[in-house]
Amino acid sequence: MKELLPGVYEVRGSPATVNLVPGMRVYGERLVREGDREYRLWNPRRSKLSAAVLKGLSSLPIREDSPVLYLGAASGTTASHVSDLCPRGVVYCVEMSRRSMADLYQLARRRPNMVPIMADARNPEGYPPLLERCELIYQDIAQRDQAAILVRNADWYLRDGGEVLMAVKAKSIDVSAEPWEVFEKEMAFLKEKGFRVREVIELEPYHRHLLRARKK
Amino acid sequence: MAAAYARCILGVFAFDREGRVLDFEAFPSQPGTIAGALLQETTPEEEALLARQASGEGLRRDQRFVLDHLDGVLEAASVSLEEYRRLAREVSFELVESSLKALPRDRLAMEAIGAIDQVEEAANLLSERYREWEGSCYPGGSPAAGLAGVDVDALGELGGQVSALKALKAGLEEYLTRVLEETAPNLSALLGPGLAGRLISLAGGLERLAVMPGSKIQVLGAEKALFRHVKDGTPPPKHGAIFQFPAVKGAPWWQRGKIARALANKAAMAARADAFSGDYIADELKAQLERRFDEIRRTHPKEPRRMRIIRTPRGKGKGKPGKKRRRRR
Ligand SMILES: C[S@@+](CC[C@H](N)C(=O)[O-])C[C@H]1O[C@@H](n2cnc3c(N)ncnc32)[C@H](O)[C@@H]1O
Repeated sequence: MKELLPGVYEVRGSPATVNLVPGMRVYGERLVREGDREYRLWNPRRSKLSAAVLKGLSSLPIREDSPVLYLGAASGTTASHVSDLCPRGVVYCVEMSRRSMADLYQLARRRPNMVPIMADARNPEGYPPLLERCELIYQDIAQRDQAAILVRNADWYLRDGGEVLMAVKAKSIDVSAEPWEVFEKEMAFLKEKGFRVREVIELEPYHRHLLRARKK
Repeated sequence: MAAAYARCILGVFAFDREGRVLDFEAFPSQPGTIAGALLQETTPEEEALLARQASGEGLRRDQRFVLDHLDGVLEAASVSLEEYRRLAREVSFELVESSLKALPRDRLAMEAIGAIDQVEEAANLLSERYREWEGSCYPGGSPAAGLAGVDVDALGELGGQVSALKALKAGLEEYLTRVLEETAPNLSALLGPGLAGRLISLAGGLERLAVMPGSKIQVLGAEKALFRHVKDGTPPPKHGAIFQFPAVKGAPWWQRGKIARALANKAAMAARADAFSGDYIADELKAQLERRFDEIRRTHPKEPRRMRIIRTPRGKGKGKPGKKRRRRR
């Protein structure tokens, strides 16, 4: 079994994670048994993180026992794979939409390391006081001031030396500016706030990127 | 001496300046009880701890102490990290359940809007009928020959129902205003309750409205025109329901799109504050909006040239159907 990144395998030509809850599907993905493990194929069309892995993301800072903060978990498609990646850790899943949260809640009930948090990611100080500082913050919220939101969350909930992954859709930040201009602005902002941008993966369709940075 | 205190799922903790736990008051261990405590402004546990730590000036609350010194907190409470996480998850379920169970009051506003629309429609229909009927009974304003008491009574009954419908509509509007001022104070203050309710209704709920970009809010209620735009390449609609807003309606056509856009952007912010943060920001938004309107009026004072054909497909003549027109920017 080829391991693309720690915990991410290539199964039948697709990225896959080891299913934390064998037999359980989350979004209709395929389950593949190999030996004593069950893999969940991780659809790159449904998940930017999987797409980024395929595009050569060089490191995924999630270990078996990592605490992870996930902003914008929606109904948990990507978050469920993140939860596969840290079976002895925890994924704090922030989502503000009631509709999505109803699904996410059901999902978290069945995945022992998922913690749903119904809150606005713009207000990290308003989360219920049940979190800890995390090793990774993954953000996929499509908001105008997403870098600022990420920095505020990191300020509260990221460990020193922790990393952030930010899905950026340049268009949603500012319609009037050129996508690359917007992108440069976001990167400059992160740098100014003490992050070192490690890599930027361009995803299809264009104007979508995944940015990985580390807090100095 | 204690420097700060903070809460977590385990209880309330007092810290010294270096972040060492000096004292704590534990919450009961049931997730439901803990969730209930976390939803409270202050808890008996807090009061007890603060009473013990009364060191002249009040202790400040600083949640970061728990995050930065979680090891010490766990040690003081003799709880392992695994146990802490397990409890955090149980508490999170309780909190999410209570948020999901809360009655979504924006639904009530949507129901009221639907009712108001239908009552209005019925009232208009019946009052038209009433006027026609009245015209037959009183041609030229005076009673027709042979008009009997029963005829007048029947007509009067219909008239009474029309008035009753109008009163019903007024009552529902009052109710709508109340619900909206409670559930969407920012949006109602910015747009007026009628338009606020309309947008919530068109979006399918306050929360859905709150996640829409301004560009989409701008054309809510203009779905037909938007569809034509996509299908036939007609100019995109510049406004939907927000056309009702006086500053949009009253603007000259070349400013209207920009004004609608500015308004829709602020409406998006107002909806977000209403749906998620709960902060009251409407006054700021209104002031910003006024400034933006002034700027638009100042920078676009004159009517521009109306339209220019940028390209005509397959080199056909200008007036042919199917041509692509773009408004000049
Ligand atoms: C593109 S979707 C995320 C998809 C998800 N990351 C996945 O790959 O499975 C964006 C989500 O972010 C949520 N969102 C947007 N703004 C938010 C905010 N300020 N706080 C919390 N959630 C937010 C939306 O409700 C939506 O569910």
